[in-house]
Amino acid sequence: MELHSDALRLDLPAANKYLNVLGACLNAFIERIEGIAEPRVTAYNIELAVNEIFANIVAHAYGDAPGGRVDVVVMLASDPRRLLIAIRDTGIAFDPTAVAEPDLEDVQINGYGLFLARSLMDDVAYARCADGNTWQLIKHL
Amino acid sequence: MALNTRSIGNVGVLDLHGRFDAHVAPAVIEWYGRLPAPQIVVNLVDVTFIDSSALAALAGGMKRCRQRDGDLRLCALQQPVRVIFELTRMHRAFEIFATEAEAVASFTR
Repeated sequence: MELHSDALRLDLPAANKYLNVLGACLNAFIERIEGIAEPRVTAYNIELAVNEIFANIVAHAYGDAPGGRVDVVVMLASDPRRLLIAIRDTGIAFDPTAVAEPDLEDVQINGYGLFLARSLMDDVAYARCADGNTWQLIKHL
Repeated sequence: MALNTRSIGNVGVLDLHGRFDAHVAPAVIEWYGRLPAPQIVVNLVDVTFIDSSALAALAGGMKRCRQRDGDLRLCALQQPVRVIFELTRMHRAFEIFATEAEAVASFTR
């Protein structure tokens, strides 16, 4: 993803205690975008989707190794207008095909994170790169 | 997030505030272990955000209480946090009440 001059870049420790920082930054970024239908609902849903990917990285990418980081880039693109969010880590590979879709007819305790991200965004893509993992989330606005 | 807990009769009430996310969920799960009785009401009136780890903590507590012939019931959900219950259809698994009084009273029905 080519970085626009007005893109927001966050370099966060891979720890759940920073989920609130990530959420606040996303909300503040989206708040300044004009003309969004149902801005509060849209911001909440994007925050939840990104939260799920970040928490998944915290849980799985670095194991018990300390010092892991998560790089988050948020930017607004045009034609069509959409929010692009890239989330990168340098941890172990993630296998999206190994994640089963939750059984919505049953009471399941875990396994909703990726399902939620995919449900709330227009596109969620994962790629394994040479030095880590990249998630790209897209929401049309 | 600080966990504020109260007892109303034999019902344990958990008041949560602000974000209920993967950072907070372990403290809630730990609280279940100290419960004297398996009747819980989680008051979400001041909760502004719920993620899947928090949902898992609630669902795990519900299962745990039901195994002991009790229940974990929810009350006062704000509109934005309902999305996670609706997408996962967990709103059908929990008993959800508009007010804390209704949720607590439901245990004496």
